[in-house]
Amino acid sequence: MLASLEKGLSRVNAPLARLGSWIGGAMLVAMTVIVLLQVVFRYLLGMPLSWTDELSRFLMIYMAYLCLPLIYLQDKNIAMTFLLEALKQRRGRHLLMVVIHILAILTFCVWIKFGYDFFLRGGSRADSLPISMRFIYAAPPILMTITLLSAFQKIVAELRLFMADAPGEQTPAL
Amino acid sequence: MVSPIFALYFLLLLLIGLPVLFALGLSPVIALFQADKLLFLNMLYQRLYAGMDNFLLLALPFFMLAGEFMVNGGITTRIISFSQTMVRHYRGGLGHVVILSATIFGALTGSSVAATSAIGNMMIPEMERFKYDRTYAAAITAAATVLGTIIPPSGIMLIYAFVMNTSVAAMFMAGIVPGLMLCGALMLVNRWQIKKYPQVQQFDKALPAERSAALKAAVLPLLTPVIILGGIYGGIFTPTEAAAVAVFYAFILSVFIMRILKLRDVFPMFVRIAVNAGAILIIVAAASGFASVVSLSGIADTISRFFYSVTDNPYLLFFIMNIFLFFVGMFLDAGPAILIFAPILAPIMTHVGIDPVHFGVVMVVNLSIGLATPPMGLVLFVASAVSGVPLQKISRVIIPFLAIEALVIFVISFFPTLVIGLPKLLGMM
Amino acid sequence: ADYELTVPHVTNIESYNHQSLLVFKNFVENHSNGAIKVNIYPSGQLCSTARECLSGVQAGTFDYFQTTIPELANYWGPVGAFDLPYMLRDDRVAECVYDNQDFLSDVRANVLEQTGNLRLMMVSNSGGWRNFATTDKQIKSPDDIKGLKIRTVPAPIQQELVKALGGAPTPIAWPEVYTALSTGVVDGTKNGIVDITMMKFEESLKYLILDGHAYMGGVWIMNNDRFNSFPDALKRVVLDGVAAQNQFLRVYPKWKEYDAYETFRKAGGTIYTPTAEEKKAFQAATAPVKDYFIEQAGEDGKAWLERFEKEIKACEASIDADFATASK
Ligand code: NA
Ligand code: NA
Repeated sequence: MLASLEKGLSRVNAPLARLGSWIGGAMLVAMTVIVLLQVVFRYLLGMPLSWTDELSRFLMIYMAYLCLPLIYLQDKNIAMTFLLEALKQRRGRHLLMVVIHILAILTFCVWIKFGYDFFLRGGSRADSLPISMRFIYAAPPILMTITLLSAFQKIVAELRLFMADAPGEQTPAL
Repeated sequence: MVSPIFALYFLLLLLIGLPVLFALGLSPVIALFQADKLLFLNMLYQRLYAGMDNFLLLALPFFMLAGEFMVNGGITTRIISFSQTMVRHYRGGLGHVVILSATIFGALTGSSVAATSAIGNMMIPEMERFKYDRTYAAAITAAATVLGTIIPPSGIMLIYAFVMNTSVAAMFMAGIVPGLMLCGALMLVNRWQIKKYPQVQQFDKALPAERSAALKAAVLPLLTPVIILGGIYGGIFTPTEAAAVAVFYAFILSVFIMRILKLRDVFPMFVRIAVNAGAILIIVAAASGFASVVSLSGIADTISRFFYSVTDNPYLLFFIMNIFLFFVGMFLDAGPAILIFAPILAPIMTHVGIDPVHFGVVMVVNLSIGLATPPMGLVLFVASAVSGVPLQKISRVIIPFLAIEALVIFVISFFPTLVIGLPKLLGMM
Repeated sequence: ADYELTVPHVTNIESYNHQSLLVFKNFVENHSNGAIKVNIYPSGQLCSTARECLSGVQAGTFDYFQTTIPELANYWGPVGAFDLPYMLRDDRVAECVYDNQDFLSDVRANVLEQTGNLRLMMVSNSGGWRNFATTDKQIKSPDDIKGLKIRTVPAPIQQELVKALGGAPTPIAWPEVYTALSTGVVDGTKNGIVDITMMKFEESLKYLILDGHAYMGGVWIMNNDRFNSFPDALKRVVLDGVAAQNQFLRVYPKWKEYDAYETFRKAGGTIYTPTAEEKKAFQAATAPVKDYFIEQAGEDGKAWLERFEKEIKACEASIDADFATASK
């Protein structure tokens, strides 16, 4: 049962995470172009653009959070792994991983709650772009919520390995 | 009042293996719960958001991208060949090659880890082939590639400038002399340590023709720092823009001029860097939140009172602080360490008359070297992974290199001109 | 203490904002006999930009904070009218206008309506007046600005002002302005003299024209629920504390300017005061900024611009009348 739940979650998570990283990559392309554009307009044409600073910042925020599901799914968050390595040959490792993912989910829940409140307070206008700050404030809570699904998938995977009594096995990422 | 104990929660969470991001995020939450200051959870989140909303930080993904183009663009080979023709004939020649390559790489990228794996992958087998000890090769690679964040451009200098509101341009220029000093110091240690390995093969001095061929092959990538620093100095672009220009230059170089990359390889690289940079940016953001709860807890006051109670002599303060930072660097990654400690320590130093750029560079050098100190050091981990030599073995052989690097830290602490002389000369501070 | 006020700011402890908050802290803590405690967090420890800090005030995490008129205009557009160039004649007029409690309370009501919780306490001063300062060329007329790259905050009104004069408004982050001036990324800035010498910009900026195109109003905001939670006696103490702080903030640039101008001259700088004619030329050249503002802010903005102009006229008249009386 756990295996099929994991499979189901992965069927949603993997494509979502990949899509997110692609859009994030496209935003990085856009950021590069926009910043170069500013150099061209200011230095070569003598007509500085007023919106490049703000737009590229907003793109960076979106980029980072769009990549968050993939970062989670591929374990790209830096961690100290001494304890986990010491437990490598033990079943207990999987239980510890479950605890770690639960703590991560807890952190996300706090961030999502207050991220949503921040979004609600975000009625002010951006400095130079004609948009409300809400469009930017929305990114973290939405994408953290999507990342929660990845965390659930990880928990299910660890539980499955724990049940299957498979000490050495690694959890597949994608 | 928020209890300073929450720093211990952070360490505890780290030790059980919770990723740095969540340890930074969760420990202040627990502290605020305990202090019954739930209202401040709003602030914690706002810092998470605003900790990323800064134009300066854009340079972080850009310099990572430029580095990625260089590594994938086959530029590593050319730089190493160039370094070989320059220094291979000295005693311990291949060790010098690693150090010189790492110095040049430092001027091309903003991080260390990329250089560790790029140089390590090529040079460690090469050194072994010529009878160098594998552990020694791994140690020298780790010790030298920390220059990646000392020689400009540097991701963690950006982070310091971002938290302390100093000029990135000044920080970059201030890193050049300490970087070159470290390069020379490491070569001295290599020369001295190599006596333990008499079996290593000695090389002939490269002929002028060989040198000029290697230089010709490497000259375009070698121009990158000239473009970055020259462009900033010449008023053509700001440091963040320089980073984007570096990406553009590396892209043109590797795809159209050297034709080492195909156009279709390029977008996946952007995706890869978006993910890697995203992971770092979110940690930067979370560390900003953590740092603000540190402020609420009054730890900063306790620490500064402690320092002042010992002395208000700037030299002595610098001495104690360097030792403190060296310990911090043993356990904490450079980025979060700067985000948490710079706001606490820098005001203490500026109060006794130390320039914030001077202190910033010393802090950056210290924590960069921390990347190669056990038990927690990303560069050391990568060197171990690339060489297959266990961490403990590298940790022992690297000690003389770390010792001379520590010496350089003290020298640049006590002689400010070595650090801020160049940016002052260039009118950047 | 029965009440604790959390007061963040984004400048260092030597800055006038921090010093003014010490005035406020001292006054309020003493006059409330310890019932109110004021905790100041400098250097962006708790929040690093005006937008972030204000959002914290809105949420009730922070209690008191200084922002600027352009920043407040991001919440309530019409207040941008107060930032239009060459509106206020001098300090006396500016102070008279912003001391008018009828006017201020109407502004306050609107800001509260838009933001829910941001209570305008006062419009004080933050570092004097904005003037054009340049590296290579003395500006005497609008024509002199043509083609110059002028570092500007990203606020639309300030950008339109530079554009109207034929210059190129260039956004540069504050910590990079020093380098941008010395390397020539930009040709000048528009800052108050106090900020210029604080950042050592005089090492590159050599020409200053005292055109005084903008009064740098420091807008102090308190969390409304927090203010209303005080009993009347403490409300009085807080308002008196704000008034004491206001005195410091308004005096500071007047007092500091002497030193600052000396520093500027010693670094080889020239200071030029425009004639009445020259100033008129600047006013005429920047007229389009007003049209731009009305276009952006609509009827409401236009009405508030007219109100602002009316208050200015009243203040000018009253000061002129004072002059007549005093010089009899
Ligand atoms: Na570097
Ligand atoms: Na370390």
